[in-house]
Amino acid sequence: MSGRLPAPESPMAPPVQPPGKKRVRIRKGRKWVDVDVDGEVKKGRFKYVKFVDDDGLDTYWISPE
Amino acid sequence: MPFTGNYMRFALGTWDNKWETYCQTNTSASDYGTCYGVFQKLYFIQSDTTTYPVGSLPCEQAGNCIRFTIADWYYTFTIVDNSSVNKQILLYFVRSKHHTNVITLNCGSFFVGTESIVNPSNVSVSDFIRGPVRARLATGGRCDVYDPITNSVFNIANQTVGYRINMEYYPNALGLKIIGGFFNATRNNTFYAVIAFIAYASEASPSLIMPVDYNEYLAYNELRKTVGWSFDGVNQLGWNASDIINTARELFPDRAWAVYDDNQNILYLYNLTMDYVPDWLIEKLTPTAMKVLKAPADVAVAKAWLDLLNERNAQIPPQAELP
Repeated sequence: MSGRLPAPESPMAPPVQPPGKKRVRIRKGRKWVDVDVDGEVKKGRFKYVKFVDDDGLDTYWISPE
Repeated sequence: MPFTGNYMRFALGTWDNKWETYCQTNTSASDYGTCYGVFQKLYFIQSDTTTYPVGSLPCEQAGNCIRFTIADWYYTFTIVDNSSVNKQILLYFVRSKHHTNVITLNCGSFFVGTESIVNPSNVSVSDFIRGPVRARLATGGRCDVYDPITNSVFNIANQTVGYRINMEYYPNALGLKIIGGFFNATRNNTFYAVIAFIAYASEASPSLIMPVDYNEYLAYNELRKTVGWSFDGVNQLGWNASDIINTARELFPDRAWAVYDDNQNILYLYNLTMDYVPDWLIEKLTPTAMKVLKAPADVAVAKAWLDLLNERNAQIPPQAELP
C-alpha cells in the first residue's frame, strides 16, 4: 500500500465505466473512437485489446499503447 | 477491389494460329528453313551441319530464327521487369508451340499463383502448382495445372511433342525475373515458339488463409474464381475480401479459415479464435484488427487449420520474443 489518499473526485470526471472495463481510444480509419475493452491479448510483438465492435463481432484491435 | 496493374509480354516467334504463319520443315521443299509471317525469332533445332551449315538456312539469313545444332538441349529465355517491385503477381500465362509444318498449338498451361515479389527466396513455378515439396514442373511430370480458358486440367507431361517448359521466377529487389526454357527437347528439325504473359498488380490484395489441397481447390469453380491457389495457404490472393468471405462461408461452413483484408488491415477469423492464430502470421500480416466471424464449435477444427498452416510454412523461423 502506498498510503496515499485517493484523489478528490473532479467535477469533470469521465462517465462511470462498467466495473472491470477499461476504456481506450483507438483509431478506426480516419476517426478516433473510444471503446470499452474486455481484455488484452499479446501476439508476437503486438498487443491487441478485445471488445465487441459495432458490427457485433468480437474484435481485437491493435493496442494504442 | 481497386487494383492497379500491368502485364509483361514475352514472345519468341509469332503466335497467331494462321495458315500464313509457318516455317517450312519439309527438307524436300525448295523453301526449306524459311519462315513466313514470323516477326520475332523462333528457336530452330537442326543438328545436321553438314547438309545445312550454320547460317545457310533462309530463316537464319532473314534473321527470324535462332539456330541450335544440338538436339539434347536446355535453352532458356529471361524476362526481367523492374517495375514489378513490391507488387503482387496475379497470374502468369505461358504458352508454347511446336512446329512441324504449320505452327499449331500443342502445349499450354495457365498458372494462377500469388507470391510477394519482395520475398528474397527463389521460388519455383511448382510452388504455385503443387507446392515446394513437389517436383518441379519440368522434371517431375506432375504438372497438371488448371487452364481457365479451356476450363480443363492440362498436364504437360502428357504432351507427346517432345518438349517441356521449365520456368522459375526470382522475386528480388530488382523485380520480377522469369526464366523459361525448353527442356530435354530432342526433336530435330523443329521450330519452337513461346509466348508468355505475366500480370501483376499493386494495392489491395485480400487473401484467403486456408490450406486447401490443390485437387480440392480444383473441384470448386467458385473458389477458383475468387482466389488464386497457393500451396502455403496464405498467399491466396483474390479481388475482394467480402467475396472471399462469402464464398468460403458457403463452401467451407464447417472448417476453419481466415480472410485478410489488406485494404482495411483486418484479419477475419472463421471457426477460429485469436488463440489459434500463429505469431508468425501476425508478424507477416501485421493486421490492425482481427474479427471473429464465428467462434469454433469444435476446437479440433481450429487446431487442424493451425497445424496444417504451420506445416506448409515450416520454413518460416519462429519469431523471437521481445523483452
